Amino acid sequence: MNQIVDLNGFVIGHIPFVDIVPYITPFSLALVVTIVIFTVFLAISNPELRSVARFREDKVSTVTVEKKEARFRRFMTILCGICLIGVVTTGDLFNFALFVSITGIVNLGIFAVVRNSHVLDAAFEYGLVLMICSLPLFGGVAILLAKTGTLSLGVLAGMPGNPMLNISRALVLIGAVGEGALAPFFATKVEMIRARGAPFINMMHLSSLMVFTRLIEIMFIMG
Amino acid sequence: MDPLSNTVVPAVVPQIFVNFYPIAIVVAIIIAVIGLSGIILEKNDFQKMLIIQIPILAMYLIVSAVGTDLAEALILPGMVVSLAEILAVSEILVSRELTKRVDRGESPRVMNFKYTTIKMEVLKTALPITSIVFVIYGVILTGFTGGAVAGAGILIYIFVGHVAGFSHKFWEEIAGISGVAYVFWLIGFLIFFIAPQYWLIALFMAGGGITIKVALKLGLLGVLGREEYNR
Repeated sequence: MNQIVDLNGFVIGHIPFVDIVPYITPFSLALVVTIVIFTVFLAISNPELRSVARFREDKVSTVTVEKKEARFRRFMTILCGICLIGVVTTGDLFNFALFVSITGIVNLGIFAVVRNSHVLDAAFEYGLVLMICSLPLFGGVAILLAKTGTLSLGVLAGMPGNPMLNISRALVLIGAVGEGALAPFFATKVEMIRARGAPFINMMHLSSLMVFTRLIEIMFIMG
Repeated sequence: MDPLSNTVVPAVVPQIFVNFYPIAIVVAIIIAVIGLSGIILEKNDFQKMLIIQIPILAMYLIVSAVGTDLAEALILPGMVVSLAEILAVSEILVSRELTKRVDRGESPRVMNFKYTTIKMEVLKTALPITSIVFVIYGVILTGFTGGAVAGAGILIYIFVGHVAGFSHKFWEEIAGISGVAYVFWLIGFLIFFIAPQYWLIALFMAGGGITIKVALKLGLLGVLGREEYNR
């Protein structure tokens, strides 16, 4: 009956933070290792140098990223990695919602310093989607709290399946998909990726992947 | 696992409060639909950002409809996250306008955004006496929540009632009183730890202090910065 064990194998251990209570399974451990390696790789790498060739002009110029901008984006990338570790290990549904929305804000921060009106346009639209999607995300969590009386994933996993929870499942699905910029909402993300500074924008792909992976597990646990 | 059955809601809760829950959810859904349709109809980006606060209000309503201590604890992180979102998005809006200005070859120094005042009918037609109801209810509640309710009452009085003749300095001094009340709150907490036998006076100092502190924190509610209201 316990979906955590069904999906992930055995639970290695719980980390007794005050009320966050993350749990570690072999699956989430693999995700954490991936995130840490990726974040360290991005944190020590330099931004790309992009060559721009103008049409009908015999001139090739190199676009560089200013040091201040690169520093801010690197900081946001590291922050995003920390948030993603929270997303994949947390054992509390509300903390999952919080970490997912913080991941969305930090993703926005990676693009906020780029001085390009196309990118900023797309980032603004993404920000609007973020703000709207906090309604279904937190709303779904609150409705689940009202129906079951608990937010702990460990307790929820032991509960029998209940069709009444499908409303909050659908709401959390819509919310997390919007915050993580997954399939129906990813059009703005594609525009944002036109920003220069290649290694940092890869964090956004990783965050989408991790939010998606974790979301499937949460969907099964809430069932 | 029937929703809101006796297994979830303790028996001491009267049935009338339990029956309020579906009504609150329906009201929140109506508010969200109104807000989202406003976003679809609105073309101005700045106004769109403001209207998005209406669905976020619906989110607060759904969370607070649970009505437990846990729900009160969950509201604050939700508020902080939505505040961070609106700050980030407004920074992006400002930097986008600057970038467009630079692209057009204009000076980025001159910042005069064109904005239209929101003509909210409720600000003209609402009764000023609502503010008294809010303040009395806030005083009964006490604590942080009561302070916020009473502060909302003062805000309604400023926006709806015909307040005129108060200088900018007056409102600053009113907000300054909240600093004094904050000291009372701190001293009350200190008495809890230093002399626990005087817990009653400590309770009154802490509860009353935080109420006055939050209620008069008009800068937090967005009142300071203008000289006079409804001139």
